[in-house]
Amino acid sequence: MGVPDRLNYSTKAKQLLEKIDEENYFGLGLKGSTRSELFLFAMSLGAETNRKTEITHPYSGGLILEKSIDSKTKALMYAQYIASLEDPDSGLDSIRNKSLVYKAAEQYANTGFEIIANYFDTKKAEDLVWDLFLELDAQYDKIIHS
Amino acid sequence: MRITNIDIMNYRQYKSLSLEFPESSQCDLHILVAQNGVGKTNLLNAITWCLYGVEPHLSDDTEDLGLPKLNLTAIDEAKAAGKDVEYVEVAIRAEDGYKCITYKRRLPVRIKPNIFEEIAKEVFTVTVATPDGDPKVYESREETKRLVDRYMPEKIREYFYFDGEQLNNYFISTRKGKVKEAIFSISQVDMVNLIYKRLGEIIGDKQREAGQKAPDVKKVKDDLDECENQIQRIENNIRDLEEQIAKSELIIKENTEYLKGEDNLPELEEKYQELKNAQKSLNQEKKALMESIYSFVRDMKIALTYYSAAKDTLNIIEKKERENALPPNIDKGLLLKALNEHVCTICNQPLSSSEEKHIKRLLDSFQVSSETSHLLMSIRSELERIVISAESYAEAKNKIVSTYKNIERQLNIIGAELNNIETRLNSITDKEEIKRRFTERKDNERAKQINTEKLGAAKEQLKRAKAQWEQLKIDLDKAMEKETECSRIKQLIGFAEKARAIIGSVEKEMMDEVRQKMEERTTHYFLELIWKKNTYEKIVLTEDFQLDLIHKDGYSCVGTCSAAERCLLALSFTLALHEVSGFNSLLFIDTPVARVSDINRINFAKVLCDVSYNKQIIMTFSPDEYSPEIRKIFEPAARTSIQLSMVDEKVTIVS
Repeated sequence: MGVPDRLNYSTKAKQLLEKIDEENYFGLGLKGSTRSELFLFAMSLGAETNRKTEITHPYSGGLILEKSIDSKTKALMYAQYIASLEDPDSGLDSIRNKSLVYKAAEQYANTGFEIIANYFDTKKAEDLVWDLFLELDAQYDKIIHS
Repeated sequence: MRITNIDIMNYRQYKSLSLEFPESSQCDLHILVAQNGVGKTNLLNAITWCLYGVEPHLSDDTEDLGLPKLNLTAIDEAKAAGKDVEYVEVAIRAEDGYKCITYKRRLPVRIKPNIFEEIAKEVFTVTVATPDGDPKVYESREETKRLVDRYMPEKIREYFYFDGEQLNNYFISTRKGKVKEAIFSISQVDMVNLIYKRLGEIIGDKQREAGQKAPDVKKVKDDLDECENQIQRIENNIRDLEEQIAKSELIIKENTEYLKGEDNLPELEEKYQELKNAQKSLNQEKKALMESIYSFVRDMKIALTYYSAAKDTLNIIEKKERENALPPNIDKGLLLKALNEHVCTICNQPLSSSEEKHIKRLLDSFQVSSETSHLLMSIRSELERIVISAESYAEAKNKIVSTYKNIERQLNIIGAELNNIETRLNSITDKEEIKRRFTERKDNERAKQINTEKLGAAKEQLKRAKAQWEQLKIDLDKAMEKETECSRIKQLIGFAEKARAIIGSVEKEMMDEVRQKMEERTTHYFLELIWKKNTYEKIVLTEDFQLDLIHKDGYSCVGTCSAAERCLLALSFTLALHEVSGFNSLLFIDTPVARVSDINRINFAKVLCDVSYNKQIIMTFSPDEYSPEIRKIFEPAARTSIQLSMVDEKVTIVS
């Protein structure tokens, strides 16, 4: 497997993004976010579930070329990978294996896209925002009290 | 004087109509009933055209269509008969004691295919016949005018012939000056005023005569004349301004009354529009804020989800740093160059074999860890930002949510206000009329303010001019005293001035007396006519000839009474004017009860019946207006009751 030059996503996610772009649902369409920001959001939703979903039918063109991945997304892709290492002290050098880092990110994002698809089908953006606030409050409480 | 016949030929709807108004020992009351459009108002126009050459009551339709005076059937018949010219003619026969007077106006009209040209001036003649002599025909303007004005002076014709439809606006449309003129005419003050003016002319002539004898006197007299002219101009200006102010006040009063309880519609609509704009702007603000909130929530979801991962990674980086496990950032290119050239790239000294071995070991060990190190360093600041961002969530959330709630609150308030205003606006049915009245009131308030300011300035100007006149008068007396030749003239002037002062006070007394009578009789008729017997106290004719209705509670309410009450007030004033004037001439009222209903109609009929015992009254009604309740009163009293109808919608006939 060669060094990845882009972030991939599924054809299903591709279809979802077409619909999202049309409505700019939750500001996630091209009018509201870059694809890198969208990917990161999806990745965070997936990471929160701690569930990776294999991309069985990748979209051939990929989602974002390497040069368009913003520094924040990249930083969190690596942080996520490091956090998943059993022994970060000894295994830290494995972050040099870009394929592993990118693949994990893509799989979490793929889970996230499924969650977004569910949001899209079941909730209006103006309702989703208040639901997410509740989730954020809970997450915040958790980190404050940890 | 009473009218016995009206003969109309080819005038508007009237092809040929003769109406007779025979006298009765009882009521001299004559009723004409006709549908709208048959020509009731044009009968009134026929009379005013015959007597004064004017048609003040033409309908908008007639004026808009530019219909000729010449009857349309008469035109067709003239064309068919090959006539070039046809005549419009109205003749009114009247009796004054033993005299029989015929007023006749005739207009020749040229018949052309499409236009009807009035080819010569109207001819107006007055024929006076007496039992003991041949009829005398008067044709000169002065003579005919005198014979009209003797019985029905043109300047107060509105008080003899009027349109009931216009009674509502009677005291608005009728200029105050006209009321004053009417009072002047009826009180015969005209004559006294004529003497007053004549004495003024004599004084002026004598002063000029003195001026011819003495140059000094002439100069002062010229100045005095100029000063008097100036005073006259200022007084005219003051009168005009006072009239305009009074008119504005009346309109303001009327509109204020109409608008009472209607809220302030234009302000309400303005407020509604302002709120709508504010709502739109807040909605736009809310939409933009919502986008920010979406962005905030997405960012926070990322930050809070990755808070632990970011913090752990940062801890690892810090730990590695503390342990010096992260290699410095070494330029591998420099090391490779030194190895290839066997020379230190820093000090340029040849490298020993042990030094080269050391560089090789460095390159081997750093190759791996420096890439990791580089990656860790490149993500460090982003991770720090994530941590800070996650930790500041609560504060940032409060800020953005409270901004949102504030907008929501404002939108709720605006929404409630808009609902409230909408309810009020929906309950107003005649919005256009209310808006028109608001504008009219506003315009008149502005006009009143401007005219009041102008009036103040004019009064000040008059004061100065009068002071100057007094001084010039003293100067003139002094100049004349110096000249012995002027002494006799001065005596004459002094006499004339005394006489003029006496006449002036007589004039005032007469005016006051007439005004007092007018007030009393107008009040009498009004209280007879009006059904509300305990609402109004009296009617006052103010010093400046403004008619005012005083409420029992003492306040002025002419501008605030109902349209029907204003009609009755106008009618009362007219009846009083006829009574006080002693002009026992005809009273013609077209559609008299158009705006009067119920009990007021019955009162109206009773009062008019009473008045018709001593005065000839002709009234025209539409069938609707001639309702059973007034028919019951008028029919037994009416000397004639005429029904008019139309043939082929062109010619009016007596049915």
